[in-house]
Amino acid sequence: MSDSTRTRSLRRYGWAILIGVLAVVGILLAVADISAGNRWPNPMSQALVGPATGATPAPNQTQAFRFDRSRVGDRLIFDFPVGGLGPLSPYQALRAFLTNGAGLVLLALAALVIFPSRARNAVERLEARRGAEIALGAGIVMVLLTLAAVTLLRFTLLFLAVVPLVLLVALVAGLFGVACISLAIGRLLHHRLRLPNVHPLIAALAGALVVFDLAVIPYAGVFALAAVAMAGIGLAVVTRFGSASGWSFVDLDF
Amino acid sequence: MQAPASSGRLSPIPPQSAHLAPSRTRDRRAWTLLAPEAILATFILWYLSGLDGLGSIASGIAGDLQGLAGWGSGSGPLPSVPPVDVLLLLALIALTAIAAYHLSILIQLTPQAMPTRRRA
Repeated sequence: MSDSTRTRSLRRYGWAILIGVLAVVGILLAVADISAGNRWPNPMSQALVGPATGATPAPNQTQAFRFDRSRVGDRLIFDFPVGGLGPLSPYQALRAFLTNGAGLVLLALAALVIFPSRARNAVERLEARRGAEIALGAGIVMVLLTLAAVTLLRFTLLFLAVVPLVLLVALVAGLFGVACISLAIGRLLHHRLRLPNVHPLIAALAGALVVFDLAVIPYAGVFALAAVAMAGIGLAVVTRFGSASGWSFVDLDF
Repeated sequence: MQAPASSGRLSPIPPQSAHLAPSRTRDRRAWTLLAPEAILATFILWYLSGLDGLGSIASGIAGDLQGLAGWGSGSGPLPSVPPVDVLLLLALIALTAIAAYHLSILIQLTPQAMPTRRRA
């Protein structure tokens, strides 16, 4: 097979290879995250990849075994002699990938399918000059604003019931923003790696896997995920959920 | 009335300095507003005894919401609002206002949406 033919076939399957590599990297990073979590417990990391291996459930949690009848995970734990880290659990890492990773991909793709034109507007503004830093800055300010507003509402009885609504809006904004960031990352990979044209949801899938991979980096992953989530909230806010007209007070001036 | 494009003349380019000056001011303001926000956030955190205090507020919200739902269904008393210092309220309102103003500056700095392009 000539070099050009091999390169062409590699390029043809470029997206499949990229997605496979990102999935494998995600699982390997999750293995490392679980192993490091056994040595130096990190509650935020446990939320992403699950509890430390070898943790015995409390007596009142025995019903959880109904969901894990095979208990293969208990047998697939290997000692890690180097660096004094905890045991390696590839099965638990795979489980983290198939739960949190799949959930992230599913929600990101759902947001793009439901709001395609809004997602496009938001991604265009994210890809513009200084779009990413403005989104991150707005996300940090939004977190401060939300915390202050929620704390303020906490001291009222009339508006206490609004607090879950505020948090729900923040969650939806974050999900929409993360979906747009996933699409933007996919488009960036498309251009940088000169991959063939593909359905935008495939590009978004690759972008969402990059976000998952960042989130399961041991210790740093929590901060990376927080940065992506804050940038997502900021992007949703500055673009008014990707609306074409953006924020305007013209209608109030009559 | 003819469209400006068909008259064979390009619309005059606005003087660059007139556009750059407000943008630069907004840019600077977007950075300088971080200082009062950081000061207020630090003060509020200190006043609430750190992250534990903030966490107790979050758990208090959940408990009071449950109490409110119980009161609504007639199975419990109305939860009481915790007493709060006016200084803390003023700090929270100031942080909310400054953060909202900061957001408006960042929104003005955001590039506008491009016209939708559709494939033929």
